[in-house]
Amino acid sequence: MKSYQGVVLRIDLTNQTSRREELNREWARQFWGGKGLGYRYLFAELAPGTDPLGPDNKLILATGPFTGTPVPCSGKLTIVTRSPATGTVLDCSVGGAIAGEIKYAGYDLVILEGRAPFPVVVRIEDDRVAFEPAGDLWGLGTHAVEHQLTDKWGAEYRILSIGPAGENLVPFACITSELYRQAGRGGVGTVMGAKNLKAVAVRGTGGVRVADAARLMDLALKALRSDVLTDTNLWAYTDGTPMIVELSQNAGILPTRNFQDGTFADFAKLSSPAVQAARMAKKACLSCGLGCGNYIRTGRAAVEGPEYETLAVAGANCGIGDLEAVAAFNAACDDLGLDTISAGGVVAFAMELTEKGLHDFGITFGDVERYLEIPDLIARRKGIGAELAAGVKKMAERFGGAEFAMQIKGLEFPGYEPRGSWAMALAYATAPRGACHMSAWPVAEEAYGSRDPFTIEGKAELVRNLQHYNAFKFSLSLCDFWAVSWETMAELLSAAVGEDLAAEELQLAGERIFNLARLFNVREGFSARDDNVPPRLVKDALPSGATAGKLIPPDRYAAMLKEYYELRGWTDDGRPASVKLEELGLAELGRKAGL
Amino acid sequence: MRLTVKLWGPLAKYAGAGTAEFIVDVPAGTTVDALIGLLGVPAEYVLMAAVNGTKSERDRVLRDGDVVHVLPLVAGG
Repeated sequence: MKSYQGVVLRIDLTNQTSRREELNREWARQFWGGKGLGYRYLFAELAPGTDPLGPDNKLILATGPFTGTPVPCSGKLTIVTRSPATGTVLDCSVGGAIAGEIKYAGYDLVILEGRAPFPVVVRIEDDRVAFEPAGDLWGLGTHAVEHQLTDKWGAEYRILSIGPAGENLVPFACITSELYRQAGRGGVGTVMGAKNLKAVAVRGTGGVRVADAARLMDLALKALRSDVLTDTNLWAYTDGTPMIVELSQNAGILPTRNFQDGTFADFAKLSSPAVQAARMAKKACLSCGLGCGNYIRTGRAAVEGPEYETLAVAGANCGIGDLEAVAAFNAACDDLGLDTISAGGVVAFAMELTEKGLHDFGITFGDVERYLEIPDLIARRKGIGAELAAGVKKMAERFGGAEFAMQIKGLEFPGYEPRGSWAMALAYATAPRGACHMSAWPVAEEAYGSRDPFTIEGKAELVRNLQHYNAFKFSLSLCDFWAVSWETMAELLSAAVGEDLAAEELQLAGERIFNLARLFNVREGFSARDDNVPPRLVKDALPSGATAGKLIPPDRYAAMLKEYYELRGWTDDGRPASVKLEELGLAELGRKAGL
Repeated sequence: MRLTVKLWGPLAKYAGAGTAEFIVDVPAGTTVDALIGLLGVPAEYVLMAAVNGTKSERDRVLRDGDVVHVLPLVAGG
């Protein structure tokens, strides 16, 4: 197949060696790239029970067949590993341009394994790989690291780096690229820290050979003009994700004070007009015509962001109706290498534990000055940061509050209140990496759109279909913000790889990829009992707005989950049944997972 | 009756020159859907209409003084 480099770069950090391997093309044909191909390699290479923070865990940097081509919105890099936060399979994507540099350097995947004996930066320039001692960078924030490395080696290098949070093995440490872009969730930065890997710097000077360059260029231009730069996508440019604050507030699903409410009195201070008033510039990733990034300057910070998730979870959910404060929290997390979603989640949980008298963390909802001290304390595990660094699940085990511990499988909730979007509850519960909004995003159809949010009718099918769509789309490393159709993906992929592919085949691949993630988790002991939602969602009614009086009755949730398993061809215990595995070409892997 | 309307994001262009937020007079009995039609906004581009700060059904009959926000399709999250 064209559009691939056909090469995997394997980097042994323990012995500081590297080697080139031939890409497994059979796997590429079944799992394509990004998320799916990363899952396939991880499943094959990790023994069950591998310690996420041990040398045997791997960090896979995965590009896709469109990476480095003119296909719109194809600039994302996927990072796959076993999560130290959840123990599940973890994939996490980051924008910017580093995916293109990896591909131009000649690689489809880079697999980092082992553990360096001392802090290092891995420097990749085309076929040259060097291990640079990084003792002088250890302890620095990601911004200083990027500036120092690009000053030394040139601005053409793109960098992935961690801050003190990753070094100190905070389980929700992220990886930063281009200062403000993050692979945020599940502790990908923690795995880097455990490997003594401070940064990866990449420069590539090659190209990508596609099957039919003229056709791919035509299709890419056509897509850009008629399917990307249109009234249905340009919200990403005009506003970007801060506009979602308005949607969530109107729909009553804006998480407020640790999910105690679905509307926030000060929402307008966090919404898109407030962000636009502070906006200095826009930014796009490689190959993107949309440019969703908002550079803003406020009295407290200059930052690219905050994105919706940060505004919701680290803003309204902490009772902080102050854009300057959220921007400063965001900038601090980016530099320290903390996921703003999980960081916001643990702060909100600590605030409610304090409010309820279960443990006094000395922080209350809306306390801006104390709130701004927390990221540094977490990243350095100092003061209350030592407790907050455990994450919401472990905090609840120690201090109580399991009823309102807003996490699933150990991953803190993103910014959508499921009591006003019942399909979102199912999406969170069945996402491979825990409470995650990237596996499926049904809020657009129900909470924001025209489908009834307060019923389970049709929701299992909706979530399943969206999960297949995202599983495949992210295996092509396409961005979430392009609402590309299956047919367009099939056309573009056919021109890139040189095969005649139909949408149905891609849909089957999406299902295969999603099921492979499930197999990984089943192999690690996960089952139906882990697909539950926090008690708050099924016990406490929301107090205001479009969701006033709403909760998810427990029998409705159970019925929705049961229907979902049946629709998927999974057992009552949430395991893919053998018939389904045969259908997806996963029977052998199912046996390896003990099925 | 008189309404305050705001068209969000790429829908702002349907407000014509000037601002995305404006005042409009419409006949009594106008519904949310009818308002969207009167403004020339293609219905398929609208994800949500909100009246007075809360998501609204499209067949809702508007009242004098209502504040109507019309929000475009979004993807991702």
